[in-house]
Amino acid sequence: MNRAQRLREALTSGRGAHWHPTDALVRGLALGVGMVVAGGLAHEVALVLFGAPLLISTLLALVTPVLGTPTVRVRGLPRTGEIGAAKSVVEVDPGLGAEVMAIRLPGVGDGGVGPVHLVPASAREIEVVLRRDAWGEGVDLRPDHLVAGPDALFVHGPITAAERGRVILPPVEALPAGLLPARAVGLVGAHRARRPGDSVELRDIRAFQPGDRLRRIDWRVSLRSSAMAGTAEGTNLHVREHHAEADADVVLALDTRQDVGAELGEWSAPARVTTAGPLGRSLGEWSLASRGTTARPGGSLDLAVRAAASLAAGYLRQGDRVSLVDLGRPRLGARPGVGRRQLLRLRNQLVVCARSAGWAQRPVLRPEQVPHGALVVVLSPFLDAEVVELAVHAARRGNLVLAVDVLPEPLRADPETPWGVSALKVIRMEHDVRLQAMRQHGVAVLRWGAPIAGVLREARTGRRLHR
Amino acid sequence: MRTELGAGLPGWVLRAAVGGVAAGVAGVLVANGVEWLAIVLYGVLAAAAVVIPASAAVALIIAYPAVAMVFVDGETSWAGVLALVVLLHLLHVLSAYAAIVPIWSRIHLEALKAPAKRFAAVQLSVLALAAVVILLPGGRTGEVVEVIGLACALGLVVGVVLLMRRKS
Repeated sequence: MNRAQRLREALTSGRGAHWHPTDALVRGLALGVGMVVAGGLAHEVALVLFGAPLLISTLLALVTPVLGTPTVRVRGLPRTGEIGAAKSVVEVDPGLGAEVMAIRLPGVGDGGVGPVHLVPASAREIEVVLRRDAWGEGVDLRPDHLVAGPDALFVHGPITAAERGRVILPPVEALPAGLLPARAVGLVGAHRARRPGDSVELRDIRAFQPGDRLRRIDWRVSLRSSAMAGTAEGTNLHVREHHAEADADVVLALDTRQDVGAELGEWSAPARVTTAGPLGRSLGEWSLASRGTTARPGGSLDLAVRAAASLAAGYLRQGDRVSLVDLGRPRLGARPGVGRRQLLRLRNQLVVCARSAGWAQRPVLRPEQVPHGALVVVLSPFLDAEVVELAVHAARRGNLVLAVDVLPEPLRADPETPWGVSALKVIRMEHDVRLQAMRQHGVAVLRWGAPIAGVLREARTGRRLHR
Repeated sequence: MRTELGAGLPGWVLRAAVGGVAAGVAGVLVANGVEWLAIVLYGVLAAAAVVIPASAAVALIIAYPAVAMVFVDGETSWAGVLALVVLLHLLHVLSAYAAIVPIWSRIHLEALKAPAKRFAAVQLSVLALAAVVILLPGGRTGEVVEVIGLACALGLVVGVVLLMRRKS
């Protein structure tokens, strides 16, 4: 045992992971024996009667063996989950002679790790209901425990248990009809690619080349062209070339640099009032310090993540390939993929991105992160010019860009400053100017919740006319 | 045995029970003619015991009435003594359990079943002893009997110490 351990042992009076007597034992012994003996000496029967119950109950506790090391184990807690209630089982082995146990568990209707419950030690399996109402990382269980013998005269603990948490995935909201484009030709949906392939859609009829399959020869065109050229049969063969079928690429570009709510007064104070942290902390620190929720509930990042999850689910259901780019931390994206596993991967990655929010000043979207012809969906509150430039640059590279505005509405002025209303007006006007600038550069702009299909169609038509 | 965690009672109920029992003890003391100043002091100690059940205040609020009842002027009533026998033991047990759970914990009554049964058994035995004492004729005890009684008490103490050493 080193010096630090000895010091800790001295400070905690030997309490911890072993059976030790409590103040109640000392009290029961001292008062019980003292009153019985004093009553006997002073010929006071009343004193003997007062001391007798204390002495008897203490002796009963002493003769009851309390042995073993109590163990607590959590069973059936998945790593990820959905918003709402889930069940888990806490297995308890209280040891020999234990009578009651104080254990920290989530209570009925409580979130978080919950209060301490005084339960009988005979309960070997305790079923607990875990409730989380916000997506993100959080601690669901920390079964700190203390096991007590008869009359709590001997206790084992308190033991601080390891935290057990889950990642609650962002919810997927069913998009209303018309929100997703059914099939934006050449861009999203079940699409034909520019390259030749095996679909049934005709791409071209060209002269036969070595390597072409014989079944692709268009005999009617070949005969007609041979007849017109006056050459011998078979020397002027033509083949039918078809388009390839390819999945479309959708890039969800999430702006995690800012997380703002509807209250302007809270924009400069990232720490929530409940966390009581110092002002000026980075958003990343705030999100880590905050338990049970990764982003500000109802804030722009919360809205952006929910929108990204819902869009990803919608496009993946159509069979498209969806990837995720974190504009604040480009390394945290997810590669393009299809199917239900990709949706799970994206929802997990959205939580990771939101956890690391507020890391960068400038948004980054590298050209190699955007496949050719992909639909780029930029989810941002558009509170600075950099993200607008990024969206415009993506549009100039030839991609159809959809800017989803996730600024909470309606914004409310800071009531604590006389400049609150004026500041709100300036922010509102700057925001409108940015959105208008994007529209002028061919970027489809919409608020989250408005139908996407019509906006995309308009943007595509505008781009064609522009070309 | 698998159990579902119910709502339970709030943790402050145990401390409130300590306060309630202490109030009952104070009432018994008042009924037996203990001075008001002593009762006020007892109230202060009881408040300290409610706030910190793991403190020495609990020992004081158990010892104080016992001594006060014995040394109070005039004749003490057996009813008061018997009431204190129950209440002081209850104070001891409630404080012991209140000391191991935080005030904002949840108390599930099933946890207190076994302690309640033991409490009742101990009280029955002590009250039976009290009945024997009340029924026995009074009078001076012989010196030999007193010496034997003291030796028994000493043996009791030695036995307790030996039991504690074996535990640790």
